[in-house]
Amino acid sequence: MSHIVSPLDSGLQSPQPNTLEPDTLAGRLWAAGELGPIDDLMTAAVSSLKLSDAELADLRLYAEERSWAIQALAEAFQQPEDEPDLYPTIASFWLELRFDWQRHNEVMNYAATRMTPLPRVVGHGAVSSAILGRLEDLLSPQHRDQLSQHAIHLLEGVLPASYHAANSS
Amino acid sequence: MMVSASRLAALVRDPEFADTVLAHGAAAAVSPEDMSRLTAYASRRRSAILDVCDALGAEGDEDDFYRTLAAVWLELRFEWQRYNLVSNYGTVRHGFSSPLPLALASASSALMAQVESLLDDAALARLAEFAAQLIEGTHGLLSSEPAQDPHASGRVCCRAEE
Repeated sequence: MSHIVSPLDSGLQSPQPNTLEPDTLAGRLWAAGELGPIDDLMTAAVSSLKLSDAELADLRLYAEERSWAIQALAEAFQQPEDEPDLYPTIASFWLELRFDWQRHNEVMNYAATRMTPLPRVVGHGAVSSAILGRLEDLLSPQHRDQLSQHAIHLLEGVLPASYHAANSS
Repeated sequence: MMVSASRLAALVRDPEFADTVLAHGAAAAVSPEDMSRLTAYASRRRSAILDVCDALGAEGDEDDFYRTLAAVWLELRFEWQRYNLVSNYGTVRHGFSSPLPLALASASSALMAQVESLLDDAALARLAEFAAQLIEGTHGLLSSEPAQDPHASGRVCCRAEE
């Protein structure tokens, strides 16, 4: 398998890490977005998958993009007075990543039961999961549970009336 | 009427789909390198939506397809808001913001418009209200005191009940 991209190979310009205090929420968010640990998790997750070079390159781009997005958010909210606004933004980012991971899972499960499994989607799901795990520590477990439950409930109730009518007929 | 996967697939297969996404990059004057990032973003989004259409497009999967579509809309809504915030805070704090977050916000918005054209108005209103409240920090989900996280610094800000 090809070597996964290192932070130095990334084409995206990272913000300046040294300006962020490591004990602040922004500093911890920055650390969560470091590409090195994400690389390690990704390498371990996709090592058993038979991915083409093009699919691996696509996964690398995806991990880089996510890493950059996390660190760009940390840099934008780096002032102490930004912290009250940063926490709900991390919460919505976490949910965004969760929906991403969930979608890959959904596609993977349907694909596995109906057609040939898609290693490319499995790989994306694994990378999503790794990145999700990095952000998870920044939110309280209680908030994560509440967000997950609410999102599930919201999506359960999202079907229009015409769907219910069709299902009952 | 139920939303068919083929309708969504036709929308994203339309050559205008990628053009619309990339036009926002051109408008934001991103560098050629960032434009290639934006191209990769559009391609990844297109591929992800087509994966959903392929996997959940069979008869009998309509409910799951619709829910997944709603989740995709929420994902794009959060992404759009996040990139807008990064761009706005960057401008306010530093007087300058890289054009890439703004271009990505515009691209998310263009994709969101495509997906929401297939969703029911009432459902969309509920999803939009939830997203707005969560991002503004006014949703009750973040209002309770979180359990103590041993890894958290004392400076993590949560919306504790007054």
